[in-house]
Amino acid sequence: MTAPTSSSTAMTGEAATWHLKPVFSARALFLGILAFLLLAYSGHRMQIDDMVGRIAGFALVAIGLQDAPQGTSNEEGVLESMFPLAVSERTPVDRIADFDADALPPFSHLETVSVEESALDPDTLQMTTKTIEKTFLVEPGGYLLLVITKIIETIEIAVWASLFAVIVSLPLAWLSARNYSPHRLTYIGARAGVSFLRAIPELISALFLVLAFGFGPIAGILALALHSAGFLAKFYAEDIEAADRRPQEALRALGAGDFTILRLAVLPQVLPSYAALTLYILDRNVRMATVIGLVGAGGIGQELKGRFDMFQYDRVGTILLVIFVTVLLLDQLAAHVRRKLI
Amino acid sequence: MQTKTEHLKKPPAANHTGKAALGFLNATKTYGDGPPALDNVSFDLKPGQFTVLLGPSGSGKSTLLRAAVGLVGLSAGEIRVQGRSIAASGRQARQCIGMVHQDGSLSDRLTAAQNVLSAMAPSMGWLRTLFQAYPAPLQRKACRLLARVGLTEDQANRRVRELSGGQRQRVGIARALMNDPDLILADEPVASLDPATARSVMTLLRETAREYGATVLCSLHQIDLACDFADRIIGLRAGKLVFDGEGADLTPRALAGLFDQTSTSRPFDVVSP
Ligand SMILES: Nc1ncnc2c1ncn2[C@@H]1O[C@H](COP(=O)(O)OP(=O)(O)O)[C@@H](O)[C@H]1O
Ligand SMILES: [Mg+2]
Repeated sequence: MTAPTSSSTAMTGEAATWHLKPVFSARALFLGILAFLLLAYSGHRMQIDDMVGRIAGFALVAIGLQDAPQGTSNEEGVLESMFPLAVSERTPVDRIADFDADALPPFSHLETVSVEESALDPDTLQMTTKTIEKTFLVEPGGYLLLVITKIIETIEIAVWASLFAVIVSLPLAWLSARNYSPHRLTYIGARAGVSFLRAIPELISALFLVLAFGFGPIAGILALALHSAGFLAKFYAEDIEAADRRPQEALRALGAGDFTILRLAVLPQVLPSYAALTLYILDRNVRMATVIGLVGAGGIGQELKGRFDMFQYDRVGTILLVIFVTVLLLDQLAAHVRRKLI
Repeated sequence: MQTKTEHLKKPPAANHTGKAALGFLNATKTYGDGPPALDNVSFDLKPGQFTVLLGPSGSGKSTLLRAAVGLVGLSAGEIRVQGRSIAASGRQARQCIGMVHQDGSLSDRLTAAQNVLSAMAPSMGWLRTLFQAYPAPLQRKACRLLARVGLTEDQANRRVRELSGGQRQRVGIARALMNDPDLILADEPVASLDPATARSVMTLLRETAREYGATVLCSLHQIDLACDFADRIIGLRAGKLVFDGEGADLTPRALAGLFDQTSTSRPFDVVSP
C-alpha cells in the first residue's frame, strides 16, 4: 500500500526541478527586434515620421492649442469649403434648352437677381459695368436628387457585375475544384484563369474597358464582374473541395454523375457559404463601383471626379455623405439576409 | 400489414436466375503500401439471405462494401453482381443495388423526401435534376416508402439535419429501397445509434428487405445484433475472412479469433486492467 505513495512523492519531488518552456524564446525576441528595425527603416522611407508630425499638428489646431500655420493648408481649406453641403441646384435659365416658365419641374421656383456684369463695349472699347437681371431656376432638393440617381446607378452597376460574376464563377468553380475538374489540364487551366482574373485590379481593367466601350456603365460592370468572378470562383471551388464527402459518396454509389452529385450533395452544403461570399462581393462591388467611376466607368464616381476637379467641395461633401449612408444601409441589409440564409 | 405492404412489393424479380446475388472472388485491396485491407476474400451471398459482415473496426468491412459499389477499386480479384462482373458493367450493376451508409451520408440541408428521391436522380435528365423536379409517380413512391419506415408527412418535409439519428437512418433505408434493389448493402447502419434504436432500425431493415425480396449484406461490429438478425455471419479480421457460419456457430473461441486484441499490432487499443 505504501509503495504507490512513496513513488508519487518521489515523482512530485522530481517535478520541482522541471524546466518550463519560456513564453518568448531567444529566437522570437530576435525576430521581434529585427521586425522593429525593418519597420523603422521603412517608416522613414515612407515618411511615417512626417505624417505623424503633421497629423498631430492638425489635431492641435483643431482643438485650438496652436494657431493655424500661415500659408496654404490644403486639407483644412477643402474641409471648410465642404460645408454647408450642396443640396439644391441653381441653374441660370438661359443655360437650359427649351426653357418653359409655365412648366417648371415639381417643387422648383424661379429666382431673379440683379447682377453686375462687366463687359467690353465693342464701340468704345471700354470696360463698362451694367446691371442686368438674371433668372435662376432653383430646385431645392435638386442636387441631392441627382446624387441619389447616381448612387442608384452605382448600385445597379454593382448588382449586374455581381450577377455576371456568379454566373461565370459557378462553372469556373466546378472546373477549378480539384475533385470535380474533369481533367488535370482543365484544373490547371481553370486555376490559372481564376488567378489571372483576380490579379487584375478593377481600376486598371476599367481604364482599358473605358477605352474599348467608352464612358459609361458597361466598362464598370465588366471590370467589376471580371475581378469578382475570379474571387468567387476561387472560394466557391475551395468550398466544393472541403464539402463533406459522405453524401457525395452515397450518390456516387448509386452511379450518379458529377453534375448530379454537385447539385444534390454539394450545393446544399455550400449554399450558406456561397450566399455569404456573394453578399460580400455585392457589398464590395458597391464600394468599388464608386472608385472605378473615377476613371469614367459610370455611376457616382464619375460625378465625384467631375466636382472634385471643379473644386466644388460642397458637392463633393454631399456625394461622400450619400456614399457613406448607402454603404451603411447595404451593410445592414446584407447582415439581415445572411441571418435569414444560414 | 398485408394491404400495407402489398403496393410496396415490386413484381417478382425476373433476374433471380439462381446465380449468387453478390460474389467476391479472391478480393484483395491494398491502400498505398500499407498492409492489405482485404486479403484474398472469397464468398457468395445466397439470394434472399440476410448476411452480416462482422468484424472489429479496421477489419476491412467498409472496404469490402465500398468495393461492391465501385467506390474503391480492388487491387486484385473480382466482384460479381448477379453473375456480371462489376468491373465490366459498373453502372448497370449498381442500379440494382441499394446502399445504407453510416450516419452523415444524407444531404443535411435537403428534406427527407428530397433525399429519398435523390436515389432516382442518376437516371434523370440534368434539367430535372437541377430543379429537383421528380416525376409524380416517383414522388408518390417516396412518400409510401417514408411512411413505411415510420416517418410522418411533417417529418418527410423536414430537413434531414432536424431529424434524430434513428430517423435519419430510416430515411437512409427508404433511399436504399427507392430503386427497387435486388441487393441491399448496409455499412454499419446503426453504429451511431443507442442500443434500443439500433435494434428497431435493424428490424426495419430486415423486414423491408424481406418485403422486397432483396438480399442483404450488412456490416456490424456488435456481436449481439449480428447473432439476432443474421441468417449467416461472415467474420473479417485484418482483411481476412476468418469465420463463415450461423450465429449459433459463434463460439467463444471463434469470437476470440475475431475480436481478441492481444495479438493485433495496435497496442494502444488494449485497455490495461
Ligand atoms: N482511403 C483509405 N486510405 C488508406 N487506408 C484506408 C482507407 N480506407 C481504409 N483504410 C485502411 O483499411 C483498413 C480497413 O478499413 P475499413 O475498411 O474502413 O475497416 P472497417 O470498416 O472494418 O472499420 C484500415 O486499416 C484502414 O486504415
Ligand atoms: Mg467502416
